[in-house]
Amino acid sequence: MLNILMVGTGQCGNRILDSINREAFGGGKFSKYYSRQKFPSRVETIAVNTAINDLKELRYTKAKDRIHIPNLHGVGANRMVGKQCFNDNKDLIMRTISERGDFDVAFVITSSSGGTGSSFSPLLIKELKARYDFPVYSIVVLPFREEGSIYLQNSAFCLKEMRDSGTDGIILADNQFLKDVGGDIQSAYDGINTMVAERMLFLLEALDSEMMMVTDLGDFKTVMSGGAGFATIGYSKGDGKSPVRSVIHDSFSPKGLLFSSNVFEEGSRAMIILRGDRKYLNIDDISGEIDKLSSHIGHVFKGVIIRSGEAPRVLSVLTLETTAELENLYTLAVEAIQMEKEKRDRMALRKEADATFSKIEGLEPQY
Amino acid sequence: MDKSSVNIGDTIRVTIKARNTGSGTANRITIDPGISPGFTFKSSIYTTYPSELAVSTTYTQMYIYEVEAAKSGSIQLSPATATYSSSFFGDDYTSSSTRPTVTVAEEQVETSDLELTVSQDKTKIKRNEKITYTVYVRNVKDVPASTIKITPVFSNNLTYVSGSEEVDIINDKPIIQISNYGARYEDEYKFTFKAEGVGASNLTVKLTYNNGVEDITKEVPSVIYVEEGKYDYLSEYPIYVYLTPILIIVAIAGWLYWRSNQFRM
Ligand SMILES: Nc1nc2c(ncn2[C@@H]2O[C@H](COP(=O)(O)OP(=O)(O)OP(=O)(O)O)[C@@H](O)[C@H]2O)c(=O)[nH]1
Ligand SMILES: [Mg+2]
Repeated sequence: MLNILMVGTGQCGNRILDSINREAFGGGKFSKYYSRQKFPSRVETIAVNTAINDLKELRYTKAKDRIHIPNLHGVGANRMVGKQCFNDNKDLIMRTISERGDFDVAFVITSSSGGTGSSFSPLLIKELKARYDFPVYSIVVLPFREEGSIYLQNSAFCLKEMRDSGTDGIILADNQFLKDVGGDIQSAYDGINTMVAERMLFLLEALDSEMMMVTDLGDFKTVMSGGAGFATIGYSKGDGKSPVRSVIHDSFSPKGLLFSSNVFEEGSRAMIILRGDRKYLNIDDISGEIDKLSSHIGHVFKGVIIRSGEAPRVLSVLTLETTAELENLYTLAVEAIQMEKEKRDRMALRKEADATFSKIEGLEPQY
Repeated sequence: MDKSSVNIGDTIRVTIKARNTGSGTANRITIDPGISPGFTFKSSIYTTYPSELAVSTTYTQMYIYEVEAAKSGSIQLSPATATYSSSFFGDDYTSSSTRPTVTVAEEQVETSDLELTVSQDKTKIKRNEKITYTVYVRNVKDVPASTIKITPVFSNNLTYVSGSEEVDIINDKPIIQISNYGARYEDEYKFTFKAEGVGASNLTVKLTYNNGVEDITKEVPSVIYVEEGKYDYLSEYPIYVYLTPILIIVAIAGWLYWRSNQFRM
């Protein structure tokens, strides 16, 4: 059994962590009252935030697993303030983690665009890598593109710092790409969070299953070490009627992915896990579809989890060599940074306007 | 006899008549009127009877006396006896009279008489409700009664709860004991009961007293219908039937509270 640490930082990270906890209880609103969490591994979840209200809003994460970093009300999307705040409170965070015992793998979940999560996460990963040997993966949520220039520029700097932090891989999820899952913003968030949560639970199962023909943490490490350090996760659930081939295909098509990517073009390594009743898992069908992918990208690890009576589900983890979508984001971010800079320059001009007024300082109107 | 039915102390006049039914004259006749027990001799009214009686078809008055009735009852007079001699042979003969009966009525002794009335405030009650019986006792005579006892006799689905201050509890049962009830005295007593069981309940108020001559018992029975109370069916189950769900609810509430506290910050 694996020991798994999951840290969610900032509001986005906290809420996705809460969704993972909820899904582990079974997903029902009141499931925490009547069922136990069905993690295959020993999972410790820790939510870190500067905003107490964001922490209070959580429903399925135990109070003892929420660390509040007192810094008034969040850091207001200011990553400078966030970094300072992390450094001031690093001991508290690291102590809480070390009290939870030894781990085989860690996941840090955050948005790239806010203040707290995007600034804490790279520093936290750096600390974890310095102290421990286990791999640390990050799950980074990209903003809606129309959320504004500060979020875009934060994302650009956050992703770079994440890469530099020593993380063993960045799994991308993109709000913009997934925005169709819900009507209003709140249900879109909830829908995206649930998507991430069900993929993460499936992934844990794929890493920590005692069955034959399954993948393990070693396979995952190998997959994640491929590519340019970015990855995403796809998922698809069949209805038992459509062939497993199409279910596999759906898992790494835009329908199933968390981040926009043409995996045949951009993919580097992949891990595909199938779960369901034996009768749906025709080995020729599976191999045919997976071979198609591996002919494009190279090695594909595959695993099968037999669950009698269950419709087929497929999880695919894909590392990316390049990503056009990220390029686009950086283009936007650079524009945003430029815009912010121009704004700042204009402010400096304003200051000159102030100088204009200062000319009449000390003078009185004469009539 | 001039009367066949008298009261004690009354005077009865007894007339003795004789008739010779033989074949010759009776000589030397003597009459012994005979004294009957139960009567007190008062006086002889007529004693001058003839000493000879010829054969005749009619009776001849022989003797008249008066007695006083001294004892009640149906009393047969002792016979009067005639002694006589035959005209032919000079032999002595005796002949007895008939024995009429006198009914002597009892002497009228004044006794007390207690009237007993029972009323109840309800005729139907629900289980666990109370019912009050009012017992009204009145001496309708000018003679006092003694050793009065008023006892409610009731079925065991009723339980006595309270009553008038005269009520004593003896052997767990309510009773009123009063040594004397004066002439024309009247009083009212209350007994309150609680209905414990469903069904018809009988309650009989029993009054005993001595009327001056003898002990008298009077009873007034009544019936009350006890219905199921509104929530009665609840108490028909044993305690664990209530306790178990309560414990389960408490346990669930405790769990929910503890659990939601774990997730509250
Ligand atoms: N998918 C998803 N995205 C979210 C959620 N909440 C916030 N976001 C996104 O996260 C970004 C904002 O980051 P937050 O995590 O809210 O910010 P923070 O880390 O708490 O930082 P501060 O609030 O600035 O201190 C925006 O791009 C939001 O669209 C959520 O529940 N789900
Ligand atoms: Mg926040």
